[in-house]
Amino acid sequence: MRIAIVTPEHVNNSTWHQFSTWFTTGSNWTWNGTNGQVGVLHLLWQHVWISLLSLAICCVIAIPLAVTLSRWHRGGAVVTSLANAGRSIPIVGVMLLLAVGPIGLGTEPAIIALVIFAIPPILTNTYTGIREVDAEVTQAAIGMGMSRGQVMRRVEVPLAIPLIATGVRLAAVQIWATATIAAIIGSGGLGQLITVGYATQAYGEVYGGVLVVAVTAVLLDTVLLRAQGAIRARYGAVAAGIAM
Amino acid sequence: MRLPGGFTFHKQGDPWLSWHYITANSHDILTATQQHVTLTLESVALGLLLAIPLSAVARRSHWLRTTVVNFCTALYAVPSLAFIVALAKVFNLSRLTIIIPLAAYSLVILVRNILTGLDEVSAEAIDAARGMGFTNTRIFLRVRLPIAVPTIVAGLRLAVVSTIELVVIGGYVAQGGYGAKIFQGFQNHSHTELTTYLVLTVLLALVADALLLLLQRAITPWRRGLAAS
Repeated sequence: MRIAIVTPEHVNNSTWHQFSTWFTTGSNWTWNGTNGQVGVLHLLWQHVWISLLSLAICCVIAIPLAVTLSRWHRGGAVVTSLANAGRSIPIVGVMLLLAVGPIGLGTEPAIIALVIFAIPPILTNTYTGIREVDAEVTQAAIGMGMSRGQVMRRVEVPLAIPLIATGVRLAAVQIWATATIAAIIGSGGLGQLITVGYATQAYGEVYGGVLVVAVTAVLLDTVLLRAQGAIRARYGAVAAGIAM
Repeated sequence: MRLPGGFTFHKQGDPWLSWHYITANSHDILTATQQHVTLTLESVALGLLLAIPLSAVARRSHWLRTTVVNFCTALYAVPSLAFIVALAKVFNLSRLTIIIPLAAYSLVILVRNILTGLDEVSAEAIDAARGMGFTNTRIFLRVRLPIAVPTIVAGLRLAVVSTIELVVIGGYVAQGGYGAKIFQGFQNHSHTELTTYLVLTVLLALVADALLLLLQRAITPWRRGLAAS
């Protein structure tokens, strides 16, 4: 059996060495970064900004759409087919398609794709939440003299809040994860560590990026799950109280 | 049949869709389809192979169940680009670069559906089987498993459809299938290539979904007439 002799040269070229060098270089984590490369702080800010904007646009589109569809007898079919379409269309492909189209590379095609694909989870959950409101509750509200609009605003939407929260959580986690892929079409964000590192064979940067992206994604998932639990505890109790 | 020139408002001769492109490149399309299907099946098969022991472990106790489910959810939260590029160097761009992440993503659906399916059996049914002198193994094989099959196959269906979509990102790390063609179309600025393979991915997902629905109906004849789940 031959024993590999580990020379200093080997050590220096190892992926682990590249990673630990990248990781322990303080300037990589700042706003300005190292050697003309954007720093992690800047990329994180871009990632947060793209994700929040996409999530906001998505809520503005999906929640009113779900409310409208819930009043229509064929609404359920529309919601189901949109959800199925979202599941079978590859988001990477759509991003690349938008990028070669009239819009070109950059942040805009990324946000458009992120919004389109985050609509189904919010739409489905909001729709279900509103449809599941007990008919007796809405009847009582109508009996009290509320108009249809008031019933929607004061009874149905508030009672649907736990499920709307579920939808927003799923959308947020999905947007955060997919915003990473958007770095391929030049949107910036944390994914850029991976794409630039991969293109330049700088594996220290790649694994640094993988670590940052994975940790933030899992962290976001955990935090939002907690937040959703809190919302459920608060509004779920209200819902139970009214339903009684 | 030729679509009326496609929408050639970009480059002459590079429409978004063209029938001519499909007939001229039918061989490439077939090869890419075969690769895409193979990668999908290998990923889901590995996912199922891992999901079965994981579910068995999860059924041991409440604590293990929470741990396993949380572990799968956390894996699912890891962005695909990060997962795949992280393995690109480890597996030297072999097929495992993409099969392992996709198998990991399918776990969340498969484990959840296996557990839900096995829990669906009512306590009365188990008691009745025990009263008839069934052993624990026999209860599992003859009562629990048949009742769980529709839910498990429903999970398999979801896993296959979402894996078909996820295989596309493999094009970024030199994997075959439709993803390779979509990324190639992106790099060459070829609208026709990009859209053709994008549409093919969606069609493949729809076909797979329909076929698995048929399978689901075929293996559960007693469910015919009941609402599809």
